[in-house]
Amino acid sequence: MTPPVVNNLIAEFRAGRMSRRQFLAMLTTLGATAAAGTVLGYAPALRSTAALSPLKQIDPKVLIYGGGQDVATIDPSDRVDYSISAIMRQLYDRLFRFEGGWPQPIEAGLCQEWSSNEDASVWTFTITDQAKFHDGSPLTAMDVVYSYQRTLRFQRQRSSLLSAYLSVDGVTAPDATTVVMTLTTPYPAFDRLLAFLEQPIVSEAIATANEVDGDEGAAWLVDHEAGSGPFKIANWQVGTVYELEAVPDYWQGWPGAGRLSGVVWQKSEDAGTRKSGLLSGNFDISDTISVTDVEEINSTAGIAAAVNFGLLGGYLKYNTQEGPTADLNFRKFLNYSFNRQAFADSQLGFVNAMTGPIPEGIPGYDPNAEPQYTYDPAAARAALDASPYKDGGFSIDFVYVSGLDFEEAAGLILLDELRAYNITLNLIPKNWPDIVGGCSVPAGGAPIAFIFDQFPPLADTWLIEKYSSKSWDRPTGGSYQACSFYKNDEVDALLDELRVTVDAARSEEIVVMVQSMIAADAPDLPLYVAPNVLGLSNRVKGFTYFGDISVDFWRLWIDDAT
Amino acid sequence: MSSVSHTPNSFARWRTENASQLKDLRRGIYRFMRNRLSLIGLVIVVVLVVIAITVPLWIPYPDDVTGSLDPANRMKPPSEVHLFGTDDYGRDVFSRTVWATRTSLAVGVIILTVAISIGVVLGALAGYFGGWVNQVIMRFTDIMLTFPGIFLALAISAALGRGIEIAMLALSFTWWPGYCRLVEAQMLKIREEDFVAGARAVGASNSRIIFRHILPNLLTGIIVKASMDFGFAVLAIASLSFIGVGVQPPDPDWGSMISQGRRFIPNGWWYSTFPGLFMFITVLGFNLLGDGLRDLLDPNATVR
Amino acid sequence: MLRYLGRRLLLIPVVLIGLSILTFTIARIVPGDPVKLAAGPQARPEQVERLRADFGLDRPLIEQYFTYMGGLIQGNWGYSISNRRAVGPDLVRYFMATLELTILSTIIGISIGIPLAIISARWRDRFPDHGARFFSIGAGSIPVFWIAIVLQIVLAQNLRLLPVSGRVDPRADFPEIITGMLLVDTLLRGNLSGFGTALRYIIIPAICQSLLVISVVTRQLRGDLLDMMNKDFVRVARANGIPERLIWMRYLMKNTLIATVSMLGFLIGYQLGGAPLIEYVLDWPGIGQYALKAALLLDFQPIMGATLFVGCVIVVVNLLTDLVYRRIDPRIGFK
Repeated sequence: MTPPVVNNLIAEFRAGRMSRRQFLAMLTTLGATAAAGTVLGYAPALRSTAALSPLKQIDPKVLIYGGGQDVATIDPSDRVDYSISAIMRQLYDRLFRFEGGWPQPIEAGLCQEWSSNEDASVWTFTITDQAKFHDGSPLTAMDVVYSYQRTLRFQRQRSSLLSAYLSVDGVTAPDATTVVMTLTTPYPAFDRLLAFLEQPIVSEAIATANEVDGDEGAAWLVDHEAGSGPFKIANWQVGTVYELEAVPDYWQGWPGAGRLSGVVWQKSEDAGTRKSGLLSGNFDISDTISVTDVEEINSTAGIAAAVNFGLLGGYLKYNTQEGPTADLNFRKFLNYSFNRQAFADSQLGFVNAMTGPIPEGIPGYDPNAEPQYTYDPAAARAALDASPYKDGGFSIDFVYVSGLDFEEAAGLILLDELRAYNITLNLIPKNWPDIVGGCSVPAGGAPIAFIFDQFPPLADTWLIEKYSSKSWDRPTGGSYQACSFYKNDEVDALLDELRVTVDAARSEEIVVMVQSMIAADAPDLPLYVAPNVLGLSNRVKGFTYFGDISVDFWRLWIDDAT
Repeated sequence: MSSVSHTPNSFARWRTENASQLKDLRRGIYRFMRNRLSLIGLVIVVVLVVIAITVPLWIPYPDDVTGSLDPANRMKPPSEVHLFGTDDYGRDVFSRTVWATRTSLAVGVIILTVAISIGVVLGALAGYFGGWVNQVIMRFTDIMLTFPGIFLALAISAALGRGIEIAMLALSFTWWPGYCRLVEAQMLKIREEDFVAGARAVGASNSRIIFRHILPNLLTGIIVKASMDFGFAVLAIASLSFIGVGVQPPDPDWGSMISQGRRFIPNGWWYSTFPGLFMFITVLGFNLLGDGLRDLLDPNATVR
Repeated sequence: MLRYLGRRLLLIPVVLIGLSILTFTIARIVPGDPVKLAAGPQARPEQVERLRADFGLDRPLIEQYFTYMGGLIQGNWGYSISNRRAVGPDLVRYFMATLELTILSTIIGISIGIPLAIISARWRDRFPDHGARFFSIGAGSIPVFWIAIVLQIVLAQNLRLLPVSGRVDPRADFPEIITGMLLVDTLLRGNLSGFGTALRYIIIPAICQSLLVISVVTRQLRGDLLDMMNKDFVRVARANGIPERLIWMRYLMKNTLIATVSMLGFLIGYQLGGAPLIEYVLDWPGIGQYALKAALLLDFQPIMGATLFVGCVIVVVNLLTDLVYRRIDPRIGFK
């Protein structure tokens, strides 16, 4: 098996015409040359377009996606993250879809028709009989019931918002194509909530077949799928690449003029590397691009940046219970002294300023909610003078996620401004887990924290999770979304009513009222809606923005001709 | 020996006692001066120290290191007004880069001081007493050596919060094992020497023997290692800042400047390049110096 | 030698237990709630508490420690709170990538470092010495994340000679895994093109990592060679007319390799602990990345697993190095 060259060498050595040293040296040189030759031999192929592999037939229909986050687990009842959701949407079907555009219209998924009773406490869904799992078995209402019950049983992240309205016994399937959900609390927008919770429907049979120690398939489903979606898993390499391949006869068909034959999600957590990958053709799409890279991407041939605004709202949340920020006038002072224009400049204009507690695009958003805090040094001075801190002379902490330059920019801008008032802002970068841990209870909570919020586009969810005192005023504390520890009894009463009312007009009335009430209390500074920036190669077609960081691969195809 | 410590001319006495070492030293200095690389290292280090000490006097844009911003001036290339250009907040890169010299040198000094203090004491004790004292200390050192430094730095900074001081503390804890092992190994050799036996025979106490007689002989090894570790300490802090655990804004630091400036390569090349150059020259200078010192002071030292 | 070996082997569990206690203490003392993080922002208090109970994190600390160690002895490395993956298989997977990188970078480091040291010592204080020393010291002075970025931009993004990041070619067939080291696995199957691909992906991380090895090995070996060159027995050999080349090969190299071997052992152990910065910038799925992420998320069992696993590896490497150099140098012996 050894090449003739090596045979000759061995013969020479054995005959004593070569010392051991020389022999080893020759072998090493040969080896090095062989390795170099292998590499260089492929170099010309590499220099052609898009770093194509010389190994197999060039397949222009596989899309390589540079993702900023790992896909930690694909258990349908566990975690929710943008990377996990992006993959789940392809592997599994859900009752509804909403990736058709922005603002998100809801389309039928597995559920063809649905209705609720008078008081929105019982919901009936008709399930299609066309859907099949990847092993060929049909998808029935029983699988839908199993999926929802499993999530409710597991009580993990995916069940959080759902648990407020549904219990395990509340989900039943009277027959193979009907699912009935009986809510614990009536909720008129329940269908929209279900759409945005995106519960993947998993095959009961497959999950149970892979059960170990009664875990309902949990250990297996971490990196295997039991779904019916347009893609299935081809290769799952933890921490590196996740390869999906298309199911050509997918029951719902393919919406575009073409389709992908496969998707590879390549984890690339460093923003600079993601950008490099896009620029050099290694990636067809890169997500979470920094705004400072947009110009470079747009001026490079063959790729373009897509900048869109969804519902990712960035807030400076003030601790309304402790410290200087407990004073209303001091909070107003902070809001009026934030130089929004300077911040927009630092983000190269890619900023969608927020005017009130909830972002635009949510039904019920009130553009006229008052007061709206713009940069107004005179009003800032007046507010500070009305507070007990008019002479300044102290320092206050500004907590943000380390490594996020836009959060740091906000901090630096505020720091610069506050110097004029003799107040020192301490910029404290922290890891995300530390921030989460420090946002539970008012005592010791950060005075100012830069937090991003994102919920389904349901106004009540936004308002209740962030501004109801019930979200934090309990023994175990709250989450980072309520870390302004806001407590206003009138607002609480209204939000309680909002939770249970089924009268649409009354709901809208409350939502509008509450926005102004909250704005008047200034528990936070609603700074801006952050852009979702993607970099796409021009060969990728069919992309429409639907409010998410990632893309819906089902709707995409690759066309190298144009 | 030490009962006559009040005679005049104790310096002259010291000179005669150590005559042969002084001659070696002179020879070594001569060799050092002839070695171009070590000289370069020495010059670099001296210049850096001078910069670090005097920079508050001549820094062109002092506000830019304490947080003032000038967004209108962002990302300007190098010019006469801004030698190294401006960053994405309009701050002068030159001012911030040279100011970061202070931080980096201070960091190196502090880390090494703490690490040496702990390591030398423990190593001396372990080497001198031997037996179970040695086993306990050296096994503990082994444990600390296998502990991943970055994790420790992260954990400690998570626990205690603020950036740079805590990061320094954490790094010191991962550094002392090296000195402990160095000192212990040397101590094991030296304690068998005659002069130690002599001191013991005269009735000197253990601590006196360790601190007055043995440690001065180990000094050269420690100095050599320290000068080479200095560069690594600067690199380590920069690495932590690169991940985001370290210096907190608006204080400038080479590692975080490189990290932030990276987004602007290649159009805004000055943002990352100058701090990178400065860091490279600093580390290089200390490494060259350390290498030269090793040749000079302790030709038989083993690098650990 | 066997007695020495026996004694050292007995001490290994002591060191590991000490390490485990230290790691456990730090991981549990650090404030922050990994359970709350894993449960998600909208988690109800009951859900958080249930998750906590599932992972046994509501038990007293001492009990948690013994439960974990008990599981460990039976081969159960635990589960990650954040993604419920078993720690054991992931550790092996990530570690093999780090091992592969370490081996290659050490090979590169030695291949460049040893010749450089020889050149440096042979022509001491002349130009080759200065050049070699400047290069080796310079190599050790460059921040590793900086050189990773530079190589990535120049070689991958601009010249398109090599891939930007990662370990596998997403457009190619994934090679069959036997050992977990792609370079080895592809060769074992005779898959030369797969070998070439794997080499292309590993070369930039390996170069970055090898700089440290070059720097240390060159400086160490040069110093030792210089010491040795002035020794009496070398002078005698020269005086007796033995050719220079022979002196180098027989006398100098064999005797000076001891300290270098010891340094190499230390370097290999250090590299096996992972290179979080290289792995982060170049997307190399090594154990540094695994441990760093676990540390950031306060994910208790992966932290323990990674630290103990790497600790064990380092202890074994140290032991092997010790054995090797005590074997080579009869003077040191096995006390």
